[in-house]
Amino acid sequence: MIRLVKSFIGRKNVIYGLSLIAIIAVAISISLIWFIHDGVNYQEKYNLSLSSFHHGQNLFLLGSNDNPMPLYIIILHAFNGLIGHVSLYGDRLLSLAALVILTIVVFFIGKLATGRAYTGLIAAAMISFSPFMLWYANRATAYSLLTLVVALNQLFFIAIYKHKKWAHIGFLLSCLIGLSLHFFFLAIIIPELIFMLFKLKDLTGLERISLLSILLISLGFFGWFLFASSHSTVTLWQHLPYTSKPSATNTFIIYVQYLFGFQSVVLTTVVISLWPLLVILALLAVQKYVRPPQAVLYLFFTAVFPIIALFAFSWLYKPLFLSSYLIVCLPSFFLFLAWYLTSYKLKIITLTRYALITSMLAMTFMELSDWRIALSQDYLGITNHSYRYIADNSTYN
Amino acid sequence: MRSPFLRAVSAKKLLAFNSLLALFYFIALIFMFNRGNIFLYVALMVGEVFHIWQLYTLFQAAWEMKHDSDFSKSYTPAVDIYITVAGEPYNIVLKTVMAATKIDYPNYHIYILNDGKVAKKKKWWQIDTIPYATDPSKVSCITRSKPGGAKAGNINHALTKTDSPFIAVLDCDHIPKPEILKSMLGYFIDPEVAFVQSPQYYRNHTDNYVANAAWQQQTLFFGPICRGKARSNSLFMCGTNMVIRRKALMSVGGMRQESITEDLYTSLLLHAKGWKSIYVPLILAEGLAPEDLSSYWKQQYRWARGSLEVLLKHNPLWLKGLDWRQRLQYMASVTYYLIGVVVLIDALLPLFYFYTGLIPISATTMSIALVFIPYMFLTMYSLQWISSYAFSFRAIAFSVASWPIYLLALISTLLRIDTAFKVTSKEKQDGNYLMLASLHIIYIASVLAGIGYVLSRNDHITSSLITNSTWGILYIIMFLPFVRASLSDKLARLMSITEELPKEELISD
Repeated sequence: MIRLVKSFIGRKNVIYGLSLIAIIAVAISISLIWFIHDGVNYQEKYNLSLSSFHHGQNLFLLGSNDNPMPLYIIILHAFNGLIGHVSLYGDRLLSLAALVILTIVVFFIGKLATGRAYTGLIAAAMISFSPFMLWYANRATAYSLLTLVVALNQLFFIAIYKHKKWAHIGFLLSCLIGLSLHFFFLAIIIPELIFMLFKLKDLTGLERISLLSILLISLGFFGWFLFASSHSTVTLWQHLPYTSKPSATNTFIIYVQYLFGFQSVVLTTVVISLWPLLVILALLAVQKYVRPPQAVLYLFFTAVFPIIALFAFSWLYKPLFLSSYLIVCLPSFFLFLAWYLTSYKLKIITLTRYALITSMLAMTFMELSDWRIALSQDYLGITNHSYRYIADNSTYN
Repeated sequence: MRSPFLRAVSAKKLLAFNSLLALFYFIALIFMFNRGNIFLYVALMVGEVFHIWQLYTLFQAAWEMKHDSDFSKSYTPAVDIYITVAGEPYNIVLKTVMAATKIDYPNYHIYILNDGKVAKKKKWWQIDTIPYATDPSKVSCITRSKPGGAKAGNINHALTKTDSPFIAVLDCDHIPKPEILKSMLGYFIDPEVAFVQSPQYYRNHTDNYVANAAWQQQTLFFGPICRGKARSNSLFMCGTNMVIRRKALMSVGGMRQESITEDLYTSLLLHAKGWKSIYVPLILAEGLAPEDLSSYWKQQYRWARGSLEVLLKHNPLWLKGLDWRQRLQYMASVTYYLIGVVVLIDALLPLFYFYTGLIPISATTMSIALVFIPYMFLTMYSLQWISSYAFSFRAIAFSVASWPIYLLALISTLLRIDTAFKVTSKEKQDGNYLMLASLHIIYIASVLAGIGYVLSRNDHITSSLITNSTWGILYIIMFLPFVRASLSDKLARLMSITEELPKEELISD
């Protein structure tokens, strides 16, 4: 019977399927044993309070007034209604579920974009073992779900370029859902529009019309954000967090955080100082007849454009450079990296592949154990700690 | 079907954007960062100017690769095929002559120009027997008794003994294809065309590490660069696989003997006189790449020396008769070999930091990264795109690691040290050539020692140390293929550093 199933599915597919399950199992284990028990932070508290409104209509008005992109709040409200009460752990599990689906989606993107399931598997492993992603996948915030929708959107976009007819509806829905989740989804739409304008000749006439229409509808949908914000109880800019202007270091720290999570300043500094390694890897990537597929160029573009755009926006208009917003670049970054690490036969690149995944896992545990990283915003815990410190160290004059 | 490197690709948007990014990087380097040590700063900026210059002239050549010229299939004038020999092995010359006798063309004669006697090579007389071993009605041998002028002198001597209006020149290891003359002569229907050049192709490029690296370096030149130069009528002769109009050649006094790259200098004079050149992007003959580092060294040294001599003695900027595009392209070619100095400067910068603490630019390491990385990544991508992904890291590494050859050529040119024309060996001379990689080995040791020295002096690791160390390691990685090439095959096998060489692919037009 097993032989029959195997022969039907194909041995390689069985191996990839089992590998994917193993990867997800590791991510779930790490989450349930450690991450999910972390203290609640301010943003989670805010989301939970918004989602506790009982009346749908009020919820919608509240969402539009205080949160122009209310979809996540509506989803939380519906989920809490399903389980019967507002539950922090329950809502965090929703984010974890998004990570599980995201892992599978990323696998399929890698397979579709490069034609190699192995690339998809490596990308899936990176996503699941990324301490950065694991952290957000164990928070009652929209970011894990947002990343999932971004990945789905990219899957459909690549599928359209591969002339798959089924992708158009999915692309439209993912655009609308993404924008309803977070206004920064726009940072994915815009590079897609730019990419499309440069690569129009690779699409048929109908595909061009469809894709362009969807992108323009999405941009129009973004108008809701501006409309709601203008009628909101707070001003548009008061919605947005206060941050300082980003430096060159901040742009690189984002990618380091994707790979190694939130680490101490010393460790982060050491890693980003190794940036000439990127030059080495780029030079080693110059290999005969190894040409990045078009989909990989698209992934690279969407991994870089939002960061550059936000950097420029932060300097020219208002500082807004947040790693949480830039989570939209994470799937394409890992997919591009996976393509690079699986396309070249050089031993040094093969070694880098396995070393990277291993170190990502190691850094996950480091992120969990390093008390100096104040990620959890555990105010009660910090207050208690401060009280004890003052009690132990103060003197009476 | 043709080899990918010969494809004409269009990349105007990419090249335009890359050019802007390069300019932005350069401006950022000058205005955004504070200067460190003034001497190192000037040295760095000179290097960056050189890089930008080479990039822009490459992009100018590759901007438009397609170029149509008049061609007539029915134009089949008489051709003298010169096969130049200077002591190469008998069997190699024989193969080439036999292939030449099979050329599909109505009106030609083959002349073996035997310089073995004047070059005092052993068994030079064997070459004189080749006409009898092949086809005496089609093949003759012209053996010089008086030396002078090396290959140029050999050709000029033959010009006095032959009379066809066109001359095809082949190195004795370049086996011609039957269609070679029919593919090239038709362009001479235009009376202003002086010569037609086709690419050099090394048939042994998958046999051997050095041959493979040498070949990959050629793909960029014979691909987008030659195509681009042809469009601006600045393509120069490359010594073999070319057909020349006798009248044009005689208008500049024959092949010029003043330079060891007689082909480059003669082409310069032809263009200055208003003659045209054509490039045929088809592999019409297959030759042999140098198979050992010593042969590679000699070949590169000759090209560098010849080009730098043209730069210093016959500068294209001042030569009358050239238009601006021709001057630009010729200057790009002859200045290329100044890269030896530039690589040395760039490679020494980390060492200056390790041993003296001096730096050329005072800035946060990430600020430099922010402007450098996008420019560098896009440039790598552009190079790959315009060459149709036909070259690799090995080509870049060999070009960079050849800096001692180019530096030596520059010094000997400046000091006017006489250099004899040394023919590239057509057979592998197996052995250890570690001496040729000694400077690279010294550099590697210096970087590693430098890192140790800084660590021993400081009690903590700084981001400057990490970044400079990584730059040093980058150059080590760039030099390693050259060091690997200096090892004998036996030693390389012992050290388990043999590798699979990429196979050639063909694509349809």
